[in-house]
Amino acid sequence: MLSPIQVLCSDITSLSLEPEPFASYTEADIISTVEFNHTGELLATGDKGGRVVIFQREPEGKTEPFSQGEYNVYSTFQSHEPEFDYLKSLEIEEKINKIRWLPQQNAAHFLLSTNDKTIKLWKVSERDKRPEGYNLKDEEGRIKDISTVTSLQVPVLRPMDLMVEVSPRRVFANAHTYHVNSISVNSDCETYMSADDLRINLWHLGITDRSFNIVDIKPANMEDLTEVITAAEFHPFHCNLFVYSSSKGTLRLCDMREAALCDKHSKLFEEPEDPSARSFFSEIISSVSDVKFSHSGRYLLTRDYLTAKVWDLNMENKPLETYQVHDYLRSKLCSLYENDCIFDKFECAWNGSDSVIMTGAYNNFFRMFDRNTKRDVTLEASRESSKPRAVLKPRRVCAAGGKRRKDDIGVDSLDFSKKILHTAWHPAENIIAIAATNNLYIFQDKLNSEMH
Amino acid sequence: MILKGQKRKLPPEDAAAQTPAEWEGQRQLVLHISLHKYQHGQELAEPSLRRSVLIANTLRRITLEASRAAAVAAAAERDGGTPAPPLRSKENAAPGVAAPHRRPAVTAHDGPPAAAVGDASPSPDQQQQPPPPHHHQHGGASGRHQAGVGAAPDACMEGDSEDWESMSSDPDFSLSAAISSILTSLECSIDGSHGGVPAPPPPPRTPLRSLENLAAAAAAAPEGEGAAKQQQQQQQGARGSCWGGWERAEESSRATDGCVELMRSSYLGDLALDDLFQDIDTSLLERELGVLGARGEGHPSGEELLRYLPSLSSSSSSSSATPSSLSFSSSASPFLSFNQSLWCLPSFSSFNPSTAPSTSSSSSFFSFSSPPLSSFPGPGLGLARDGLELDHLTEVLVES
Repeated sequence: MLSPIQVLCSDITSLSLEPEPFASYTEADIISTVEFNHTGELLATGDKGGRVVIFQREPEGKTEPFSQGEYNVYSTFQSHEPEFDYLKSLEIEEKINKIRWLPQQNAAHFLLSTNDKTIKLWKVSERDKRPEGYNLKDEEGRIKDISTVTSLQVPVLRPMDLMVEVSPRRVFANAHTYHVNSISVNSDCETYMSADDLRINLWHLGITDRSFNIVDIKPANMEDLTEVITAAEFHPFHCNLFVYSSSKGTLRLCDMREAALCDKHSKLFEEPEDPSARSFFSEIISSVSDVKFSHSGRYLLTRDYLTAKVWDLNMENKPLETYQVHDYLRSKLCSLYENDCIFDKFECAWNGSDSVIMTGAYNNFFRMFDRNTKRDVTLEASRESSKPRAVLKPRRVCAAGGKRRKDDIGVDSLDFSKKILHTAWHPAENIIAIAATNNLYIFQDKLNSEMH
Repeated sequence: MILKGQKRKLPPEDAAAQTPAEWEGQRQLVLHISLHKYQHGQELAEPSLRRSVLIANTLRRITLEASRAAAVAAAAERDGGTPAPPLRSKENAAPGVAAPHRRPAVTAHDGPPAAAVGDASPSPDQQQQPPPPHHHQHGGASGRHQAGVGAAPDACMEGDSEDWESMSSDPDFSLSAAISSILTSLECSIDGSHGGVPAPPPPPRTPLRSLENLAAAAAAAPEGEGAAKQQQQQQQGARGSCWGGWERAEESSRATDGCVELMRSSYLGDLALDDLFQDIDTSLLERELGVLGARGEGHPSGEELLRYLPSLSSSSSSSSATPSSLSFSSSASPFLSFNQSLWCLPSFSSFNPSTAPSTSSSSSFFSFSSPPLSSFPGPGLGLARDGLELDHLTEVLVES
């Protein structure tokens, strides 16, 4: 039973949870990535305008059991600026494609954010004390007149209003000819990889002028190009393993111990095409848009256009489970091809215990599948249905000609401009963050707040 | 995107439930949409390589299915299985494989049907003096080539020529060549040409009227890029401009309806032109060369092109700018350099006429577009990007 705890819209100053007439938003406000950190205390969002907004969960109040931590704005900063590549006469968008948090190792938080070309490491630190009582300068910083100093004092640290400082620590640039679509931090906490359409590079977090190319699928002749890399991720605890997905619906698990250049995969996960379901769009809808390792490291979750699949790392020839996200669109593929919706890249997410998977769909719907009970639910992220403490009502899309109940929505009434591409699940609790265009919805399962 | 007078309905997309006519209808629809998408893909705010690759693969798949259907129809007509249909399907069925043979095979297939179409096509082709000879010659050349590749062409082709319906699948063969140029221009746009330049207004592209009408978009993008990139010494730009310019030259002699002829002749004409011009009187050479040199922005019509081309061949053979990267035998050098001039002509047309006198400009664009062998820009042979294609050309030249 999911209840909305917050609806956060792009206009940060008005965190009103009352349904409002839908305010116009600028293109720059469209959220392009959502990511919880490893404890779930912080939630980072990136938008098309190159900004990153970090939310922090308030500690639970003891008095009111239901005011479980809300997420408040912790910091906002401009991560990437639009650039113009003069050599190629190309504009480089500042849209944040991915944010990944580093595991926390000291009081500061570190995150990687990337646009199409450049990855940046940001340090997010707090300052809540400041020294007072200098001998040579006064409180405003002006140099004191020596003659007025009569005694020595030791400066002391006094508390101040919390200030969050964000500073860029590294800029990893000029390593990608094509558009970066994924970054993934290695479990060794020293390296990370960045993947573009044709190549994957391995970086050391401390070294910005060099990266190693570990996968290169660019053909010698670009005319022979038929496949691109769509997503890549490191294994959660085997620092030598990573997986990358392709536009042809294949997953490749690579072991960096085998060779410096991991073009040759260790395992290839591919489901043979179902001959009865062949169409002109078979390849397009098989293109994997997101791949995520389970927290256990045993399974892979992939999302293609119509389904979400769970793969066992030990079984390459077919997925373990296949979940139909919106199969009612199968008969509409031609129109979706025409209006480009068929190229939408939906993300997917595991819950903390790997028992439930979640992914987005159209009309601001998102779907959750319980792997154990095989039950699934469709929910909508909208202001009208998201009053605080309300319970989200399951939605149903009825295919044309099917039995129609009240409140069902027909396939043709779906709004394809409202798509939920980016979702994130708290690593430990049943809290999810859903990005719907320019709005961020945070939902929590009140009844089952802990994982089971 | 309306199919010729029909009210467009979206056919049912369940493959099992479709009749062949519905399937064909949907195929045509998807084909048109794909071409349209590619054409405008460069203008997107966010050019996406994944999207372009998927569209190109869809186009390939459509042409593959069309060829399979046509082959099956042809085989059925002949009442007897020749090994040709499955072989042809197989040849086309390796989209992901770097198969240089595939391209020649595809183009070769176009030859005889082209010839047939050239014969059968009605009045719009009045201006097409060059193409019919192309096609006949090309048919011969490609026939030889097909023998070399191992395809069994003739039976299939004749079957195709009898049936206009199946002939409508011929553009799809040419489309495979189009797809190769799609991807080349992809590289142009991603790797550093000018695809999707939002800030500076794109230089006015000479519209490839017939090409654009036919949504043979592959030409449009590289052509536009070529115009913008003329000052930059990048081989991709050269490639694109060569290719696009060649299209431009051909375009003026085409009827708007000549999608089939257009793509065929523009992609494949090079193969036949060297045969065609074997015995052209090169005395025209010196006189014409100067005129040609001055025509920076000119888009010679097909006829003018033919007149000028021999002039280039002699001048090229006399110039020392024969790229050594092309490993043709010296005995074939007149034709070799002729072909080079053929390839280079389009980029020439985009050159600034004021910068160089004719001879040096011809040699300058030789150096402009003479990168290493493996990436030599062969425009009309939009396919001719790898050494094997050039080897094939050698074979053709030797035989001619």
